[in-house]
Amino acid sequence: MHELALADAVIDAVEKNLGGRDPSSVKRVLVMLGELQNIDLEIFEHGLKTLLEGKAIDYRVFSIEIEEAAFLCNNCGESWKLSEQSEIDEEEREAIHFLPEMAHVYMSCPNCGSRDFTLESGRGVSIAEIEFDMIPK
Amino acid sequence: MDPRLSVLEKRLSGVRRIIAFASAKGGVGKSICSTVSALLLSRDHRVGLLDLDLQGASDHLILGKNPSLPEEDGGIIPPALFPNLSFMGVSLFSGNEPVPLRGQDTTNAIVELLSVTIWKKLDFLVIDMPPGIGEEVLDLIRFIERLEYIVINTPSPLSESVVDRLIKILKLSDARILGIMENMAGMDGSERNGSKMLAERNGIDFIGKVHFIPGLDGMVGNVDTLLESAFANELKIITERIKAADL
Repeated sequence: MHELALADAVIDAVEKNLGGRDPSSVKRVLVMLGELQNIDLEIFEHGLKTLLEGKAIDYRVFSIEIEEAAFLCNNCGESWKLSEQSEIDEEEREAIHFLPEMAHVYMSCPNCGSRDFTLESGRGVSIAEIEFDMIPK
Repeated sequence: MDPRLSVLEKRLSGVRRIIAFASAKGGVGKSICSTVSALLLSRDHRVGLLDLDLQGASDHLILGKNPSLPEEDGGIIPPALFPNLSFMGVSLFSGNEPVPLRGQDTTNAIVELLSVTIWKKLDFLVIDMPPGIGEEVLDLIRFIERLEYIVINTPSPLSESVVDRLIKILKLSDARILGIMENMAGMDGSERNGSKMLAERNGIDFIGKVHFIPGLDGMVGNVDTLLESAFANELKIITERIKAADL
């Protein structure tokens, strides 16, 4: 499962952004999971929990939200959501799960059929916010 | 914040050396030079081949392999296509379909491939770069400081001029340039020494040339034939120099 590699990246990024603070001072980390990448939430959360064992950052500080995927066609200007996209098969979905840019290979604008579109939101994993306790624990 | 950027070096920590075959000019043979070099190096080293020519991926065709989705195990596992040679590239996900990517998509795809691919311990990671000095080149300069570049030129004044611009960008970025190699040497019936002069002008090494081999395209997809070719024999001299180089 490559959710583990993504969870590892999130923890690594938080640790690299402590700015000299104690790891135990991390109060909240808001992680956004893009709908397009279709990350298995349970595996991702389990990955965070497992990788944080023995570390001073508490697993419970992580909040995870799913970000809706939205697209804008560069050819005709049509906007659409992932839920409005015509059906793609399991293997294509898996390719997008591995590499979200494969959306440009397997998806197209519902209005004009172009594959030249911009993914406006909901691509993959990002950290929206890291909050720290003012006074370290 | 993009968390993937924080693990790029970590993912490559088991790789001893990273060699990129680059040229600002298209059609100079980056894919065949990098792929056959990876095969030659894999005879006595552990090698990974990363095809970063996202929009013109062809290394799998040179290797004669039909791409299929890779396995996952704590990340994405590059399939071992030959003994000592594992492979990663966009073709594993797109097959032979077109991959129309704009700038930010290209960067995102490169970052994703670098951040979730779990390479085993490697002596060499060979990267096949796309033509130009666009996202792929600029991103790699930014993300992988210890990358070593082989700049490919052909015996053509046009190629020399365009390649000269890539060298300028690499030098301005303090990138490590292993040297210039010439591909398709003698294709115009003469033995020009433009690549050697280009190297001298830029104060970098000229690490050898490979002659134009009629019929080389017909060997694509047949690794045994490719490795027995005069092309591979000449390229072997260059790969020996790559092994011996210590920047």
